[in-house]
Amino acid sequence: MTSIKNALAGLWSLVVGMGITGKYFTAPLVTVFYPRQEAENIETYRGHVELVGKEDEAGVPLCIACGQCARQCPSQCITVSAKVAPADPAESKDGKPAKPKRLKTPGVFQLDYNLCSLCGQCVQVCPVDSLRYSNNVYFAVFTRQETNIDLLERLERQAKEGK
Amino acid sequence: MTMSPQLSSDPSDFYSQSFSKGARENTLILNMGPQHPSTHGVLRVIVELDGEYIVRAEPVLGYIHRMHEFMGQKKTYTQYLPNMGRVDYLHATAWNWAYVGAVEQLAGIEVPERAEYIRVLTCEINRICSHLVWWGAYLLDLGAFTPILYAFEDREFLLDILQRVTGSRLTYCYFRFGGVYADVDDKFIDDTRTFIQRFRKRLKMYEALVTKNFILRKRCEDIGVLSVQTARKYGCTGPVIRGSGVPYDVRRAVPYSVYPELDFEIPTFSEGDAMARYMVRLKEMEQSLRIMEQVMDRMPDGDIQGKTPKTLKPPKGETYFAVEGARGKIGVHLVSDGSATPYRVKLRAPGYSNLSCFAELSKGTLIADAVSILGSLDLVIPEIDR
Amino acid sequence: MIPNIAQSLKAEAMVECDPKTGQAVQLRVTAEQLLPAAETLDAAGYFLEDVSGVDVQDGFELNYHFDHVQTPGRITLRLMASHDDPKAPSLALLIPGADWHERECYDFFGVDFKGHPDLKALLLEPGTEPPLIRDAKSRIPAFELSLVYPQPEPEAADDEEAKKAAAKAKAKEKAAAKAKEKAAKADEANPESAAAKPEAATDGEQAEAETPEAKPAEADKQEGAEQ
Repeated sequence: MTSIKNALAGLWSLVVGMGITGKYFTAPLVTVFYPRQEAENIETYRGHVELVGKEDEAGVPLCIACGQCARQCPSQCITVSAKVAPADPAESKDGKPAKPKRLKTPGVFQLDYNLCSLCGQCVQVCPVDSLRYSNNVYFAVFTRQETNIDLLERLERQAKEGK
Repeated sequence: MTMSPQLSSDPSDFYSQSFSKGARENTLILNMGPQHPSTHGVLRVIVELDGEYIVRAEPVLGYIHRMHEFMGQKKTYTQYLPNMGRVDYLHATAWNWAYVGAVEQLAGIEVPERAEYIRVLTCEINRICSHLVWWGAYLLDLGAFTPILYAFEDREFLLDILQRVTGSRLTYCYFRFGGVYADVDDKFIDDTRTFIQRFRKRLKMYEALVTKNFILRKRCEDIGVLSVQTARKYGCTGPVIRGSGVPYDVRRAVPYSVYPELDFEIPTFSEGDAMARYMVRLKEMEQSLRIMEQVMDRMPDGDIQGKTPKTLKPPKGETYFAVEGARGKIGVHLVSDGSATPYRVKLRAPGYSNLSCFAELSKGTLIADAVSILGSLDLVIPEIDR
Repeated sequence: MIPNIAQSLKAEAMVECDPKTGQAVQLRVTAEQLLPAAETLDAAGYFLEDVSGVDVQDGFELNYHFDHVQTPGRITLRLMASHDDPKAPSLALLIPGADWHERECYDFFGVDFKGHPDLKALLLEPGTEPPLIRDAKSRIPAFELSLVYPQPEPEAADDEEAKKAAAKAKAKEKAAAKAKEKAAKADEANPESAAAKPEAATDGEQAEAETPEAKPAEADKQEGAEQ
């Protein structure tokens, strides 16, 4: 007797389940059809870092090329070196050529996105807040070399596109 | 599944060779994994079968071993932070917390109250995410396809919410020594409240759709019964030991952060079978919702980052800090020699201990039930292999 | 507060821990004391959390962390395995959960667990060099890790005094050695002159008595230099 009862209860549980499935079958879709639609929360995504431009000169970064971000990075994926001004012959003294001057702006600023783990420690450590997260979600490339991003070039391009 | 006849002539590896030494006559040795869907990643289990019954089983680990403990000795304290999101990708914030908490305990760093509340909030949201993935994947193992889609739909809401503060969706690197990375905003709180209301209804639906389902009960009840003694001997924690009737939860046993102020229960079931572990996790999600509500009501204003030295050099000594993750007790044993690099970081993964009892649990069961047992232990292989 | 159970365990040394260490009590055990201690803890309802190895100057230190589900309070058994021949008794037959933890230590440090039913590589490829062994230079002494190890005497911290003491002790040692040599030579040359013998012997004794004092001071000096 109990086994029949159990079997009936079991069958009923299946009917209930089917009912729920049926209800959701008629409910509106919740999926985002990607190439035709976009997800709504891309602006909160923190992708690879990018440079922040100066207020008056959007194409030039605030960066002072101190290299703290490169040292702090757990995976050593940032390469930054200061721009070097060519020696000024007018400054030469006693016949000695003047030394090239190390400027407080980066000449090279590259990010190897292959290695980056998006931890954000470079952003936090930057003394002049010259780094921020981009929300570049659609980052797809064909070769590994392309993931080595030139952030200076990216900033210039953004500055041009912005105007 | 790769089948191998009695391993005398085939080019098997070290583990199958050593396993086959103890084999009985007329049994079949079978490799489950490392690329078997029911092992949730790259776990390999060698089983000796007598018909469809398991005589012996031996898990073989290490297929995704990354030597996080060695990395800890090479990087500075802050540089090691992103590693923590990758140990257990399903409950990353708990691992964040275990490591950050250990360093804070050793260095004596104070955490502002608001940061503590945010930590609890994100950790509980992440716990629900983790349980949802487990729920979907477990039922997938048992042959039910649709539940994982419902689970992922709900999880998607939570990931969107977490993305607002952490910036990422899976491998969070959100906790910092003395606080958290970013503050929560009103939209975050509103979204979470909406989710809680929605999810309470969904949990009822889950129960009607799956938990009461006749077929599921047949696959879970009286399968893989784990006694309290065995669970303790193997060092099982989390939902596994709570499914055996022991109300052991680090959040209550050794309270940390603001958990002592919060009102929640520790769900326990005494049956010790796969169904009990299933029920514990479902009830835990309800409790997590309760915690989240209380945290949002009480969250004070203030800083989210305490004072921390720029180059962190904890004093010489050692410390052990444990938190409750979705799979159990996560422990970090940290030794400092006074420099900027940890001297030794030992990570205690709950899944490691939980899985170690599988060999005993699966003895004499059907191979199909072994899949159910494996699933009910809630394995995350990267965490086990570390 | 030291739990009662800890007091009943036989150990070399026992210390109550600062809450900062996250442990209630630590015990330094020898290889013979480990199994009985683990057996008592197991019988009292403790479970093994993990076995954490640390490579220090004195050897591979194995930390057995035990905890209890009803009365939390971590009890740590600390066992030192030497660098040259790292071995420890296995708990795997007593506490099956120790099986994998011991295999992990075998992987990472090459510690041989005597009596383990199936000691083979678990996480690493069989035959891999143990990765967590440090080079001798970067190892820290065990007493920095825990109070269960004899701490150096604080007075030795004074560098100059320590140096002087060491230099003095060395000079005395040399003098004693010379005296001995002389005595020996004298003995060979003139076996009848027994008068020189007792003097040399007393000198030698003095030197021996002083050297143990000087040695820790020297050791500290080296540590100071490393830091």
